[in-house]
Amino acid sequence: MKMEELMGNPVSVQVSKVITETPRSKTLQFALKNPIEFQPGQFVMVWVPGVDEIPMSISSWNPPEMGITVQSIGEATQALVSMSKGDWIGIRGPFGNPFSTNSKKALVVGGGVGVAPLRPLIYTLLDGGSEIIFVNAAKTKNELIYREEFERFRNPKFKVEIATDDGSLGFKGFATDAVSNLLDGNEFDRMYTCGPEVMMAGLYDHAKKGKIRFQASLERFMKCGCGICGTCAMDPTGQLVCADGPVFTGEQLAKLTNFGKYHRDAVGMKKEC
Amino acid sequence: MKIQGYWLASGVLGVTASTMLRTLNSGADAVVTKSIGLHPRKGHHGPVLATSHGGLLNAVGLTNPGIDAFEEEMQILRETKVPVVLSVFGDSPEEIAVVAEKGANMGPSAIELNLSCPHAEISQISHSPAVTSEYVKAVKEVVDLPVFAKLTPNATDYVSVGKAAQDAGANAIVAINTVRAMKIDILQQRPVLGNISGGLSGPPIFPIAVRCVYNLHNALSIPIIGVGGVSTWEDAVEMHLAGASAIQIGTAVMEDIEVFSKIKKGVNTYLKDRGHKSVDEIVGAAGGDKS
Repeated sequence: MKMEELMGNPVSVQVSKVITETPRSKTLQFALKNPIEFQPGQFVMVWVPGVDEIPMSISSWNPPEMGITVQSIGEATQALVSMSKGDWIGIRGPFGNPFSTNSKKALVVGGGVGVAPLRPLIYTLLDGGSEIIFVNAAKTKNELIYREEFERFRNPKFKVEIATDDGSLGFKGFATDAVSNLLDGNEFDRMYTCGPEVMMAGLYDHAKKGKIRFQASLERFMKCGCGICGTCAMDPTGQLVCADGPVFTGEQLAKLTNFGKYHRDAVGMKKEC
Repeated sequence: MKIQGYWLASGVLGVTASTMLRTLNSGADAVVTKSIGLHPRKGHHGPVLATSHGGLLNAVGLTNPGIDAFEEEMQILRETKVPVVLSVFGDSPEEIAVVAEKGANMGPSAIELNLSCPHAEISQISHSPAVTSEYVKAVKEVVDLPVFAKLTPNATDYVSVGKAAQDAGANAIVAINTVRAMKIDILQQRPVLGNISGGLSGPPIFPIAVRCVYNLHNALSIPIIGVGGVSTWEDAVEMHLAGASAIQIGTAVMEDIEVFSKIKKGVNTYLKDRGHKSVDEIVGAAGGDKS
Protein backbone atom coordinates (compact mmCIF):
# COMPACT_ATOMS: atom_id res chain seq x y z
CA MET A 1 0.00 0.00 0.00
CA LYS A 2 1.22 3.48 -0.81
CA MET A 3 0.07 5.09 2.40
CA GLU A 4 1.68 8.51 1.80
CA GLU A 5 -0.08 8.79 -1.55
CA LEU A 6 -3.44 7.56 -0.21
CA MET A 7 -3.16 10.15 2.56
CA GLY A 8 -2.53 12.89 0.00
CA ASN A 9 1.24 13.28 0.55
CA PRO A 10 1.03 15.49 3.66
CA VAL A 11 3.33 18.52 3.61
CA SER A 12 3.81 21.58 5.80
CA VAL A 13 3.98 24.93 4.02
CA GLN A 14 4.23 28.58 4.96
CA VAL A 15 1.55 31.03 3.88
CA SER A 16 3.11 33.23 1.18
CA LYS A 17 0.31 35.72 0.66
CA VAL A 18 -3.01 36.72 2.26
CA ILE A 19 -5.65 38.48 0.15
CA THR A 20 -8.71 40.05 1.78
CA GLU A 21 -11.78 39.10 -0.26
CA THR A 22 -14.63 40.35 1.95
CA PRO A 23 -14.85 41.46 5.59
CA ARG A 24 -15.26 37.79 6.57
CA SER A 25 -13.17 35.96 3.99
CA LYS A 26 -9.59 35.77 2.82
CA THR A 27 -7.59 33.87 0.25
CA LEU A 28 -4.41 32.21 1.52
CA GLN A 29 -1.68 31.34 -0.95
CA PHE A 30 1.22 28.96 -0.43
CA ALA A 31 3.75 27.14 -2.59
CA LEU A 32 3.81 23.37 -3.00
CA LYS A 33 7.25 22.05 -3.81
CA ASN A 34 6.18 18.69 -5.15
CA PRO A 35 4.24 18.63 -8.40
CA ILE A 36 0.55 17.78 -8.07
CA GLU A 37 -2.26 17.05 -10.51
CA PHE A 38 -5.17 19.42 -9.97
CA GLN A 39 -8.55 19.62 -11.62
CA PRO A 40 -11.27 22.17 -10.73
CA GLY A 41 -13.58 20.94 -7.99
CA GLN A 42 -10.92 19.15 -5.98
CA PHE A 43 -10.06 20.01 -2.39
CA VAL A 44 -7.24 19.76 0.13
CA MET A 45 -7.24 18.92 3.83
CA VAL A 46 -5.79 21.87 5.70
CA TRP A 47 -4.11 21.35 9.06
CA VAL A 48 -4.48 24.44 11.19
CA PRO A 49 -1.82 23.85 13.86
CA GLY A 50 -3.20 23.53 17.36
CA VAL A 51 -6.78 23.85 16.15
CA ASP A 52 -8.09 21.25 13.70
CA GLU A 53 -7.87 19.88 10.18
CA ILE A 54 -10.59 20.85 7.71
CA PRO A 55 -11.40 20.34 4.00
CA MET A 56 -11.03 23.42 1.78
CA SER A 57 -11.78 23.83 -1.91
CA ILE A 58 -8.82 24.80 -4.04
CA SER A 59 -9.66 28.25 -5.41
CA SER A 60 -6.50 28.78 -7.49
CA TRP A 61 -3.60 26.76 -8.81
CA ASN A 62 -0.78 28.60 -10.53
CA PRO A 63 2.07 26.16 -9.96
CA PRO A 64 3.68 26.13 -7.52
CA GLU A 65 1.23 28.54 -5.85
CA MET A 66 -2.04 27.17 -4.54
CA GLY A 67 -4.87 29.25 -3.09
CA ILE A 68 -7.73 28.50 -0.73
CA THR A 69 -10.50 30.96 0.01
CA VAL A 70 -11.67 30.85 3.60
CA GLN A 71 -14.75 32.34 5.19
CA SER A 72 -14.72 32.62 8.96
CA ILE A 73 -17.43 30.23 10.15
CA GLY A 74 -15.93 28.15 12.96
CA GLU A 75 -12.80 27.83 15.05
CA ALA A 76 -10.51 26.52 12.30
CA THR A 77 -11.66 28.96 9.61
CA GLN A 78 -11.37 31.82 12.10
CA ALA A 79 -7.76 30.78 12.78
CA LEU A 80 -7.07 30.61 9.04
CA VAL A 81 -8.42 34.08 8.24
CA SER A 82 -6.31 35.45 11.11
CA MET A 83 -3.08 34.11 9.56
CA SER A 84 -0.27 36.18 8.11
CA LYS A 85 2.53 35.58 5.65
CA GLY A 86 5.02 33.08 7.07
CA ASP A 87 2.55 31.15 9.25
CA TRP A 88 2.66 27.36 8.94
CA ILE A 89 -0.18 25.15 7.77
CA GLY A 90 -0.31 21.52 6.69
CA ILE A 91 -1.69 20.51 3.30
CA ARG A 92 -2.64 17.08 1.96
CA GLY A 93 -4.36 16.32 -1.29
CA PRO A 94 -5.76 17.21 -3.74
CA PHE A 95 -8.65 14.84 -3.13
CA GLY A 96 -11.96 14.11 -4.77
CA ASN A 97 -13.58 13.93 -8.16
CA PRO A 98 -13.47 17.12 -10.22
CA PHE A 99 -16.06 18.86 -12.37
CA SER A 100 -16.39 17.57 -15.90
CA THR A 101 -15.41 20.50 -18.11
CA ASN A 102 -17.09 19.29 -21.26
CA SER A 103 -19.48 22.17 -22.00
CA LYS A 104 -20.14 24.62 -24.84
CA LYS A 105 -22.46 26.89 -22.93
CA ALA A 106 -22.40 26.72 -19.17
CA LEU A 107 -24.34 28.31 -16.36
CA VAL A 108 -22.15 28.53 -13.26
CA VAL A 109 -23.86 29.43 -9.99
CA GLY A 110 -21.98 30.18 -6.78
CA GLY A 111 -23.57 30.97 -3.43
CA GLY A 112 -21.42 32.77 -0.85
CA VAL A 113 -18.00 31.19 -0.35
CA GLY A 114 -19.22 28.36 -2.62
CA VAL A 115 -17.72 30.34 -5.50
CA ALA A 116 -14.25 29.16 -4.37
CA PRO A 117 -14.07 25.88 -6.37
CA LEU A 118 -15.95 27.54 -9.25
CA ARG A 119 -13.20 30.09 -9.90
CA PRO A 120 -10.70 27.61 -11.37
CA LEU A 121 -13.61 25.90 -13.15
CA ILE A 122 -14.55 29.16 -14.90
CA TYR A 123 -11.00 29.77 -16.14
CA THR A 124 -10.63 26.17 -17.27
CA LEU A 125 -13.95 26.27 -19.14
CA LEU A 126 -12.99 29.53 -20.87
CA ASP A 127 -9.60 28.08 -21.84
CA GLY A 128 -11.49 25.23 -23.45
CA GLY A 129 -13.63 27.64 -25.47
CA SER A 130 -16.86 27.44 -23.46
CA GLU A 131 -19.30 30.29 -23.20
CA ILE A 132 -20.27 31.06 -19.58
CA ILE A 133 -22.84 32.97 -17.61
CA PHE A 134 -21.72 33.13 -14.00
CA VAL A 135 -24.19 33.94 -11.24
CA ASN A 136 -22.32 35.24 -8.20
CA ALA A 137 -24.81 35.19 -5.35
CA ALA A 138 -24.57 36.17 -1.69
CA LYS A 139 -26.75 37.45 1.12
CA THR A 140 -25.50 40.99 0.65
CA LYS A 141 -23.07 43.02 -1.49
CA ASN A 142 -20.26 42.88 1.11
CA GLU A 143 -20.25 39.08 1.04
CA LEU A 144 -19.76 38.71 -2.71
CA ILE A 145 -16.44 36.94 -3.18
CA TYR A 146 -14.22 37.70 -6.23
CA ARG A 147 -16.65 40.50 -7.22
CA GLU A 148 -13.92 42.87 -8.38
CA GLU A 149 -11.87 40.15 -10.04
CA PHE A 150 -14.75 39.14 -12.26
CA GLU A 151 -15.87 42.75 -12.82
CA ARG A 152 -12.42 43.56 -14.18
CA PHE A 153 -12.15 40.32 -16.12
CA ARG A 154 -12.96 40.90 -19.79
CA ASN A 155 -13.75 38.01 -22.08
CA PRO A 156 -16.40 38.08 -24.83
CA LYS A 157 -17.54 34.61 -23.85
CA PHE A 158 -17.98 35.43 -20.17
CA LYS A 159 -20.81 37.29 -18.48
CA VAL A 160 -21.31 37.76 -14.75
CA GLU A 161 -24.67 38.32 -13.05
CA ILE A 162 -24.84 39.43 -9.43
CA ALA A 163 -27.63 38.36 -7.11
CA THR A 164 -28.04 39.43 -3.49
CA ASP A 165 -30.76 38.34 -1.10
CA ASP A 166 -31.20 41.91 0.15
CA GLY A 167 -30.86 43.58 -3.25
CA SER A 168 -27.81 45.62 -2.21
CA LEU A 169 -26.32 44.82 -5.63
CA GLY A 170 -27.68 43.22 -8.79
CA PHE A 171 -30.75 40.99 -8.79
CA LYS A 172 -32.71 41.18 -5.54
CA GLY A 173 -33.56 37.72 -4.27
CA PHE A 174 -32.29 34.16 -4.13
CA ALA A 175 -29.89 32.66 -6.66
CA THR A 176 -32.57 30.15 -7.65
CA ASP A 177 -34.87 32.98 -8.74
CA ALA A 178 -32.08 34.75 -10.61
CA VAL A 179 -31.37 31.48 -12.42
CA SER A 180 -35.04 30.99 -13.17
CA ASN A 181 -35.00 34.34 -15.04
CA LEU A 182 -31.81 33.43 -16.90
CA LEU A 183 -33.26 30.13 -18.08
CA ASP A 184 -35.92 32.10 -19.97
CA GLY A 185 -34.27 32.96 -23.24
CA ASN A 186 -30.91 31.22 -22.71
CA GLU A 187 -29.87 27.71 -23.67
CA PHE A 188 -27.28 25.93 -21.50
CA ASP A 189 -25.84 22.45 -21.90
CA ARG A 190 -24.53 22.32 -18.32
CA MET A 191 -25.21 23.88 -14.95
CA TYR A 192 -22.44 23.89 -12.33
CA THR A 193 -22.97 24.95 -8.76
CA CYS A 194 -21.50 25.17 -5.29
CA GLY A 195 -23.04 26.89 -2.29
CA PRO A 196 -25.69 26.32 0.36
CA GLU A 197 -27.28 22.92 -0.24
CA VAL A 198 -30.84 24.22 -0.20
CA MET A 199 -29.85 26.54 -3.08
CA MET A 200 -28.21 23.67 -4.97
CA ALA A 201 -31.28 21.47 -4.49
CA GLY A 202 -33.44 24.27 -5.94
CA LEU A 203 -31.08 24.64 -8.90
CA TYR A 204 -31.16 20.89 -9.46
CA ASP A 205 -34.93 21.09 -9.86
CA HIS A 206 -34.51 23.88 -12.44
CA ALA A 207 -31.88 21.86 -14.31
CA LYS A 208 -34.05 18.75 -14.32
CA LYS A 209 -37.01 20.69 -15.70
CA GLY A 210 -34.84 22.34 -18.35
CA LYS A 211 -33.06 19.06 -19.18
CA ILE A 212 -29.68 20.66 -18.46
CA ARG A 213 -26.86 18.40 -17.31
CA PHE A 214 -26.08 19.23 -13.71
CA GLN A 215 -23.05 19.08 -11.42
CA ALA A 216 -22.89 20.21 -7.82
CA SER A 217 -20.06 20.28 -5.32
CA LEU A 218 -21.31 19.04 -1.95
CA GLU A 219 -20.04 19.62 1.55
CA ARG A 220 -20.26 17.21 4.48
CA PHE A 221 -18.53 17.00 7.83
CA MET A 222 -15.22 15.34 7.01
CA LYS A 223 -12.44 13.94 9.18
CA CYS A 224 -10.07 11.94 6.96
CA GLY A 225 -10.62 13.32 3.44
CA CYS A 226 -9.43 10.08 1.90
CA GLY A 227 -12.22 7.53 2.12
CA ILE A 228 -11.62 5.70 5.37
CA CYS A 229 -13.54 7.25 8.26
CA GLY A 230 -16.97 7.27 6.60
CA THR A 231 -18.10 10.50 8.28
CA CYS A 232 -19.11 12.13 4.98
CA ALA A 233 -21.26 9.25 3.69
CA MET A 234 -24.33 9.93 1.56
CA ASP A 235 -27.46 7.79 1.92
CA PRO A 236 -28.49 5.25 0.79
CA THR A 237 -25.61 4.54 -1.62
CA GLY A 238 -22.80 4.89 0.91
CA GLN A 239 -20.92 7.15 -1.50
CA LEU A 240 -18.38 9.34 0.25
CA VAL A 241 -18.26 13.07 -0.43
CA CYS A 242 -14.46 13.00 -0.01
CA ALA A 243 -13.68 10.10 -2.35
CA ASP A 244 -16.70 9.75 -4.65
CA GLY A 245 -17.53 13.49 -4.60
CA PRO A 246 -17.38 16.30 -3.76
CA VAL A 247 -18.74 16.83 -7.29
CA PHE A 248 -21.85 14.78 -8.01
CA THR A 249 -23.84 14.71 -11.26
CA GLY A 250 -27.59 15.17 -11.48
CA GLU A 251 -27.97 11.43 -12.16
CA GLN A 252 -26.04 10.61 -8.98
CA LEU A 253 -27.90 13.20 -6.91
CA ALA A 254 -31.26 11.73 -7.98
CA LYS A 255 -30.36 8.56 -6.04
CA LEU A 256 -29.28 10.35 -2.85
CA THR A 257 -31.99 10.70 -0.24
CA ASN A 258 -30.08 13.21 1.88
CA PHE A 259 -29.20 15.75 -0.85
CA GLY A 260 -30.84 19.03 0.16
CA LYS A 261 -32.44 17.31 3.15
CA TYR A 262 -29.99 16.43 5.90
CA HIS A 263 -26.31 16.08 6.79
CA ARG A 264 -24.55 14.50 9.75
CA ASP A 265 -22.86 16.60 12.41
CA ALA A 266 -19.54 16.06 14.19
CA VAL A 267 -20.87 13.10 16.22
CA GLY A 268 -22.79 11.57 13.30
CA MET A 269 -26.29 12.76 14.17
CA LYS A 270 -28.62 13.80 11.38
CA LYS A 271 -29.30 17.53 11.02
CA GLU A 272 -31.52 19.33 8.53
CA CYS A 273 -29.76 21.15 5.71
CA MET B 1 -22.78 -16.36 14.19
CA LYS B 2 -20.01 -18.40 12.65
CA ILE B 3 -16.54 -17.04 13.29
CA GLN B 4 -15.15 -17.29 9.80
CA GLY B 5 -14.44 -15.21 6.72
CA TYR B 6 -13.27 -11.64 6.19
CA TRP B 7 -14.96 -8.83 8.05
CA LEU B 8 -14.85 -5.05 8.01
CA ALA B 9 -12.93 -3.99 11.14
CA SER B 10 -14.37 -1.46 13.56
CA GLY B 11 -13.64 2.21 12.98
CA VAL B 12 -13.47 2.12 9.20
CA LEU B 13 -16.53 3.21 7.21
CA GLY B 14 -18.68 2.01 10.10
CA VAL B 15 -20.57 5.18 11.04
CA THR B 16 -23.54 4.77 8.71
CA ALA B 17 -25.58 1.83 7.48
CA SER B 18 -25.06 2.95 3.88
CA THR B 19 -21.26 2.59 3.95
CA MET B 20 -21.46 -0.75 5.78
CA LEU B 21 -23.89 -2.05 3.16
CA ARG B 22 -21.46 -0.91 0.52
CA THR B 23 -18.65 -2.99 2.03
CA LEU B 24 -21.00 -5.97 2.29
CA ASN B 25 -21.74 -5.59 -1.41
CA SER B 26 -17.97 -5.57 -1.98
CA GLY B 27 -17.65 -9.02 -0.45
CA ALA B 28 -17.21 -8.54 3.31
CA ASP B 29 -18.62 -11.55 5.18
CA ALA B 30 -19.58 -9.43 8.17
CA VAL B 31 -19.23 -5.84 9.29
CA VAL B 32 -18.20 -4.47 12.66
CA THR B 33 -19.69 -1.07 13.41
CA LYS B 34 -17.74 1.88 14.70
CA SER B 35 -17.52 1.71 18.49
CA ILE B 36 -20.66 3.14 20.03
CA GLY B 37 -20.92 4.53 23.55
CA LEU B 38 -23.71 5.64 25.82
CA HIS B 39 -23.66 9.31 24.85
CA PRO B 40 -22.91 11.28 21.66
CA ARG B 41 -19.18 11.96 21.49
CA LYS B 42 -17.30 14.35 19.24
CA GLY B 43 -13.86 12.79 19.50
CA HIS B 44 -10.54 14.55 19.12
CA HIS B 45 -9.68 17.66 17.16
CA GLY B 46 -7.97 17.18 13.82
CA PRO B 47 -5.71 16.16 12.38
CA VAL B 48 -7.11 12.75 13.26
CA LEU B 49 -4.88 11.02 10.72
CA ALA B 50 -1.17 10.95 9.98
CA THR B 51 1.14 8.59 8.17
CA SER B 52 4.57 7.24 9.00
CA HIS B 53 6.65 4.38 7.57
CA GLY B 54 3.83 3.06 5.44
CA GLY B 55 1.39 2.93 8.32
CA LEU B 56 -1.63 4.97 9.26
CA LEU B 57 -1.89 6.73 12.60
CA ASN B 58 -5.30 7.73 13.82
CA ALA B 59 -6.66 9.55 16.83
CA VAL B 60 -10.32 9.86 15.92
CA GLY B 61 -11.28 9.60 19.57
CA LEU B 62 -14.34 7.33 19.52
CA THR B 63 -16.55 9.78 17.65
CA ASN B 64 -20.10 8.39 17.70
CA PRO B 65 -23.73 9.52 17.98
CA GLY B 66 -24.51 7.44 21.07
CA ILE B 67 -26.33 4.09 21.18
CA ASP B 68 -29.85 5.56 21.09
CA ALA B 69 -29.24 7.57 17.91
CA PHE B 70 -27.43 4.62 16.31
CA GLU B 71 -30.61 2.53 16.35
CA GLU B 72 -31.70 4.13 13.08
CA GLU B 73 -28.60 2.79 11.28
CA MET B 74 -28.94 -0.63 12.96
CA GLN B 75 -32.53 -0.83 11.76
CA ILE B 76 -31.41 -0.49 8.14
CA LEU B 77 -28.69 -3.12 8.68
CA ARG B 78 -31.15 -5.55 10.27
CA GLU B 79 -32.85 -5.95 6.90
CA THR B 80 -29.72 -7.57 5.44
CA LYS B 81 -28.94 -11.21 5.98
CA VAL B 82 -25.27 -10.59 6.60
CA PRO B 83 -23.96 -10.62 10.17
CA VAL B 84 -23.47 -7.24 11.82
CA VAL B 85 -21.24 -7.05 14.88
CA LEU B 86 -21.99 -4.09 17.11
CA SER B 87 -18.85 -2.63 18.67
CA VAL B 88 -19.44 -0.92 22.02
CA PHE B 89 -17.38 0.85 24.65
CA GLY B 90 -18.01 2.25 28.11
CA ASP B 91 -16.26 4.07 30.92
CA SER B 92 -17.19 1.40 33.48
CA PRO B 93 -18.48 -2.19 33.51
CA GLU B 94 -21.93 -0.80 34.40
CA GLU B 95 -21.90 1.64 31.48
CA ILE B 96 -20.71 -0.85 28.85
CA ALA B 97 -23.41 -3.25 30.08
CA VAL B 98 -26.09 -0.60 29.52
CA VAL B 99 -24.80 0.11 25.99
CA ALA B 100 -24.53 -3.61 25.18
CA GLU B 101 -28.02 -4.35 26.50
CA LYS B 102 -29.55 -1.52 24.48
CA GLY B 103 -27.54 -2.59 21.44
CA ALA B 104 -28.50 -6.24 21.77
CA ASN B 105 -32.11 -5.21 21.21
CA MET B 106 -31.17 -3.68 17.87
CA GLY B 107 -30.57 -7.05 16.23
CA PRO B 108 -26.80 -7.48 15.86
CA SER B 109 -25.34 -10.99 15.46
CA ALA B 110 -22.72 -10.38 18.13
CA ILE B 111 -21.27 -7.69 20.39
CA GLU B 112 -17.61 -6.67 20.20
CA LEU B 113 -16.24 -4.98 23.30
CA ASN B 114 -13.71 -2.27 22.53
CA LEU B 115 -11.52 -2.59 25.62
CA SER B 116 -8.45 -1.15 23.99
CA CYS B 117 -8.74 2.06 21.93
CA PRO B 118 -5.21 3.42 22.51
CA HIS B 119 -6.06 7.12 22.31
CA ALA B 120 -9.06 7.40 24.62
CA GLU B 121 -9.75 6.98 28.33
CA ILE B 122 -10.74 3.34 27.85
CA SER B 123 -7.27 2.37 26.63
CA GLN B 124 -6.19 0.90 29.96
CA ILE B 125 -8.98 -1.68 30.38
CA SER B 126 -7.33 -4.51 28.50
CA HIS B 127 -4.00 -3.92 30.18
CA SER B 128 -5.42 -5.61 33.29
CA PRO B 129 -6.78 -9.16 33.43
CA ALA B 130 -8.97 -8.26 36.43
CA VAL B 131 -10.53 -5.16 34.84
CA THR B 132 -11.04 -6.97 31.53
CA SER B 133 -12.82 -9.74 33.37
CA GLU B 134 -15.18 -7.25 35.06
CA TYR B 135 -16.16 -5.68 31.72
CA VAL B 136 -16.76 -9.00 29.99
CA LYS B 137 -18.75 -10.40 32.92
CA ALA B 138 -20.92 -7.29 33.13
CA VAL B 139 -21.89 -7.64 29.46
CA LYS B 140 -22.32 -11.42 29.52
CA GLU B 141 -24.80 -11.02 32.37
CA VAL B 142 -27.14 -8.86 30.30
CA VAL B 143 -26.91 -10.18 26.72
CA ASP B 144 -27.52 -13.59 25.17
CA LEU B 145 -25.47 -12.84 22.06
CA PRO B 146 -21.89 -13.94 21.42
CA VAL B 147 -19.49 -11.45 23.01
CA PHE B 148 -16.05 -10.75 21.53
CA ALA B 149 -13.32 -8.99 23.53
CA LYS B 150 -11.02 -6.76 21.49
CA LEU B 151 -7.59 -6.56 23.08
CA THR B 152 -4.59 -4.30 22.86
CA PRO B 153 -1.09 -5.32 21.81
CA ASN B 154 0.17 -2.51 24.04
CA ALA B 155 -0.20 -4.65 27.19
CA THR B 156 2.87 -6.48 28.44
CA ASP B 157 1.00 -9.69 29.21
CA TYR B 158 -1.86 -9.80 26.73
CA VAL B 159 -2.12 -13.58 27.01
CA SER B 160 -3.21 -13.30 30.65
CA VAL B 161 -5.69 -10.63 29.60
CA GLY B 162 -7.01 -13.00 26.92
CA LYS B 163 -7.33 -15.80 29.46
CA ALA B 164 -9.22 -13.50 31.82
CA ALA B 165 -11.64 -12.58 29.01
CA GLN B 166 -12.14 -16.28 28.21
CA ASP B 167 -12.75 -17.18 31.85
CA ALA B 168 -15.26 -14.32 32.12
CA GLY B 169 -17.28 -15.85 29.29
CA ALA B 170 -16.03 -14.14 26.12
CA ASN B 171 -16.94 -16.19 23.05
CA ALA B 172 -13.94 -15.02 21.03
CA ILE B 173 -10.95 -12.71 21.22
CA VAL B 174 -10.33 -9.97 18.67
CA ALA B 175 -6.63 -9.19 18.38
CA ILE B 176 -5.22 -6.65 17.90
CA ASN B 177 -6.32 -3.05 18.28
CA THR B 178 -3.98 -0.34 16.96
CA VAL B 179 -0.49 0.11 18.37
CA ARG B 180 0.11 3.31 20.33
CA ALA B 181 2.28 5.61 18.22
CA MET B 182 3.16 9.18 17.33
CA LYS B 183 4.22 11.38 14.41
CA ILE B 184 6.12 14.67 14.64
CA ASP B 185 6.26 17.15 11.75
CA ILE B 186 9.88 18.19 11.32
CA LEU B 187 9.11 21.51 9.61
CA GLN B 188 6.61 22.70 12.21
CA GLN B 189 8.46 20.84 14.99
CA ARG B 190 5.24 19.66 16.60
CA PRO B 191 3.13 16.48 16.82
CA VAL B 192 0.77 16.08 13.85
CA LEU B 193 -2.22 14.46 15.56
CA GLY B 194 -4.62 16.75 17.40
CA ASN B 195 -4.47 14.25 20.26
CA ILE B 196 -0.63 14.19 20.12
CA SER B 197 -0.50 10.36 20.07
CA GLY B 198 -2.71 7.83 18.36
CA GLY B 199 -2.96 4.27 17.13
CA LEU B 200 -0.88 2.81 14.32
CA SER B 201 -2.56 0.52 11.80
CA GLY B 202 -1.77 -0.87 8.37
CA PRO B 203 1.07 -3.06 7.06
CA PRO B 204 3.71 -2.08 9.70
CA ILE B 205 1.70 -3.65 12.53
CA PHE B 206 1.02 -6.94 10.73
CA PRO B 207 3.94 -8.88 12.28
CA ILE B 208 2.91 -7.63 15.73
CA ALA B 209 -0.61 -8.91 15.12
CA VAL B 210 0.67 -12.28 13.89
CA ARG B 211 2.66 -12.78 17.08
CA CYS B 212 -0.28 -11.83 19.32
CA VAL B 213 -2.70 -14.08 17.45
CA TYR B 214 -0.20 -16.95 17.56
CA ASN B 215 0.33 -16.66 21.31
CA LEU B 216 -3.36 -16.20 22.10
CA HIS B 217 -4.37 -19.14 19.92
CA ASN B 218 -1.91 -21.38 21.71
CA ALA B 219 -3.02 -20.31 25.17
CA LEU B 220 -6.81 -20.16 24.75
CA SER B 221 -9.58 -22.49 23.67
CA ILE B 222 -12.00 -19.86 22.27
CA PRO B 223 -11.60 -18.68 18.64
CA ILE B 224 -9.31 -15.79 17.76
CA ILE B 225 -10.43 -13.14 15.28
CA GLY B 226 -7.24 -11.76 13.75
CA VAL B 227 -6.90 -8.10 12.83
CA GLY B 228 -3.96 -5.80 12.19
CA GLY B 229 -2.42 -4.81 8.89
CA VAL B 230 -3.90 -7.55 6.72
CA SER B 231 -3.98 -6.25 3.16
CA THR B 232 -3.30 -9.22 0.86
CA TRP B 233 -4.36 -12.86 0.64
CA GLU B 234 -0.83 -13.87 1.66
CA ASP B 235 -1.28 -11.86 4.87
CA ALA B 236 -4.63 -13.56 5.46
CA VAL B 237 -3.13 -17.04 5.03
CA GLU B 238 -0.34 -16.15 7.45
CA MET B 239 -2.87 -14.85 9.97
CA HIS B 240 -4.91 -18.07 9.67
CA LEU B 241 -1.74 -20.13 10.17
CA ALA B 242 -1.03 -18.12 13.33
CA GLY B 243 -4.43 -19.10 14.66
CA ALA B 244 -7.10 -16.71 13.37
CA SER B 245 -10.47 -18.31 12.57
CA ALA B 246 -11.81 -15.09 11.07
CA ILE B 247 -9.98 -11.97 9.91
CA GLN B 248 -10.94 -8.32 10.11
CA ILE B 249 -9.71 -5.79 7.57
CA GLY B 250 -9.62 -2.05 8.15
CA THR B 251 -6.88 0.19 6.80
CA ALA B 252 -6.53 -1.77 3.53
CA VAL B 253 -10.06 -0.66 2.61
CA MET B 254 -8.59 2.79 2.04
CA GLU B 255 -6.74 1.52 -1.01
CA ASP B 256 -9.46 -0.76 -2.34
CA ILE B 257 -12.94 -1.52 -1.03
CA GLU B 258 -12.87 -4.75 -3.08
CA VAL B 259 -10.12 -6.07 -0.78
CA PHE B 260 -12.51 -8.57 0.87
CA SER B 261 -13.37 -10.48 -2.28
CA LYS B 262 -9.77 -10.33 -3.52
CA ILE B 263 -8.44 -11.84 -0.29
CA LYS B 264 -11.15 -14.50 -0.24
CA LYS B 265 -10.34 -15.50 -3.79
CA GLY B 266 -6.60 -15.66 -3.08
CA VAL B 267 -7.06 -17.72 0.08
CA ASN B 268 -9.39 -20.16 -1.72
CA THR B 269 -6.87 -20.65 -4.51
CA TYR B 270 -4.14 -21.26 -1.92
CA LEU B 271 -6.27 -23.84 -0.10
CA LYS B 272 -7.12 -25.61 -3.35
CA ASP B 273 -3.51 -25.64 -4.55
CA ARG B 274 -2.33 -27.07 -1.23
CA GLY B 275 -5.08 -29.68 -1.11
CA HIS B 276 -6.89 -28.32 1.94
CA LYS B 277 -10.61 -28.97 2.15
CA SER B 278 -11.37 -25.86 4.18
CA VAL B 279 -9.74 -22.97 5.95
CA ASP B 280 -10.20 -24.82 9.26
CA GLU B 281 -7.31 -27.07 8.29
CA ILE B 282 -4.85 -24.19 8.34
CA VAL B 283 -6.11 -22.27 11.39
CA GLY B 284 -3.25 -22.43 13.87
CA ALA B 285 -1.34 -24.87 11.66
CA ALA B 286 1.92 -22.96 12.10
CA GLY B 287 2.56 -24.44 15.49
CA GLY B 288 1.24 -25.53 18.82
CA ASP B 289 3.78 -24.71 21.46
CA LYS B 290 2.52 -22.81 24.50
CA SER B 291 5.17 -20.11 24.60
